Amino acid sequence: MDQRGQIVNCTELRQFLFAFLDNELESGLSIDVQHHLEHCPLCAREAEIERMVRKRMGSALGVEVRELPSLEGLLAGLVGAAGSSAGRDVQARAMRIWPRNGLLAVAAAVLLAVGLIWQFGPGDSAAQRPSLTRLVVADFEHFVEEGQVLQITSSDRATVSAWLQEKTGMGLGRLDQAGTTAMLRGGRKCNLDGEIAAFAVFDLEGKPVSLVVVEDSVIDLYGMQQAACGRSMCWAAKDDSYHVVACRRRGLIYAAVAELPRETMLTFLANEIP
Amino acid sequence: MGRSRLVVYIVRRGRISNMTEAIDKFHLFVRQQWQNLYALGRQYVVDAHDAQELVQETLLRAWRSFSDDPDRPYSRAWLIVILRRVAIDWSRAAERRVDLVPASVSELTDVAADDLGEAFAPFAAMDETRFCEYLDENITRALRRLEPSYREVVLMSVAGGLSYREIAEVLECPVGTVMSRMGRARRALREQLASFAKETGWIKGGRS
Repeated sequence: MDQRGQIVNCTELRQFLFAFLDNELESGLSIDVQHHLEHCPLCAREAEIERMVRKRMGSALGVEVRELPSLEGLLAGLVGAAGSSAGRDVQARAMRIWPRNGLLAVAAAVLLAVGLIWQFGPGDSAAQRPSLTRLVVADFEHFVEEGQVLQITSSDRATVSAWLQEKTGMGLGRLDQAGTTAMLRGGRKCNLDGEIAAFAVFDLEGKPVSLVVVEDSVIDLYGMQQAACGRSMCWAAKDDSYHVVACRRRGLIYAAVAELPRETMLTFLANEIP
Repeated sequence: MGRSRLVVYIVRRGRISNMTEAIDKFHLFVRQQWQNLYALGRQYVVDAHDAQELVQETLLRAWRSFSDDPDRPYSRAWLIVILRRVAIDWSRAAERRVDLVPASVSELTDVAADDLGEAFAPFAAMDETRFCEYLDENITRALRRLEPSYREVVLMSVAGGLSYREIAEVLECPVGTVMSRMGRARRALREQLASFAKETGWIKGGRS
């Protein structure tokens, strides 16, 4: 480099080109590289080639949304496993405090066990709660086996939604037919694992599709995979011959079940829950 | 007995009630990192299922350390160090198909910088559309042909989204060493790409 600090030849530039393209150079040196590239067509071409290589690498190495595992599943499983190991660690530490006093050690263990049950007991472990997928599929199978009995029969979304809102506190996502191909048949009040839920059934491509609405805070999406759903994110899973898709909106979970392809279900959900 | 021992017990009992707070902190930390962690982890193993297990094992080990001291600052590089250790353990135990065994630090940092000024492998002119098409078809293959120690540094940057400083933290070496290693890795990739272009006829007479 000359005394002004400018990169003056192509050999010097090549040492810094990749760091420059990765935005890793300090600003002074970065300006020098930029200045050289503006005046040297050969280096500019090389830089352009390397830019495209970098960009294409990014695309090739990116993970498709549908491949991403459910973060909730990753973390839920972690807390379950960590709870037991953390408990053992803490218990071991407590036992070491009174190595020679058996009665006090037992008392300490009991106190800790109570504390751990309070912190990590069955109510907190996502791994012990039935998954949403299993619950909605079981509910749907029950609905079909019982003869598909509905408590309100109407193809008008606003009417069914108002009825469900009154009975369960939860309504449908969409109140009009515009832009959808699924025909609403009606709804009923149901419960999922003891929690009140709204249930609506549609006909789509000759098959029944259920849409269950339940409060976000009572059910989680453990075990489901993230998927793109229109312009939003949602979750998808398969249970036997059923595809289940779900999304969260405004404090509610909307879950659809049917024996239809995954993509059809995702489109259905995107249309019904804008 | 003591009173001092009782005090110690109470302090440690207090730690249990702070566990929920620690879990919340850990969740927040992981939420900021997990997509890059998965994208990078995916490059170490053969399939998506193993990648998920790799990330889960990484997070489990990370949590065990984190829960002991949730108040100290943790970085993305710290998670990547754990990820690499899990991949190394798996490859040693031969329990999983590890596609890219993390290189030892000495392999990654042992570089000679004197060739960084040499010209890049020549690439004949192609229009941008054809060049992008060529890259889409061959970039993954070219990456896989790189020496593992080169490939890993590139993957940390491109798939993992790590800065050079973070890569240096993972590899426990100066940033300048990372810069040199990255330069050599990208040159090697360029050579692979140029070589494929000749082998497959992208350059001579163009593709039909």
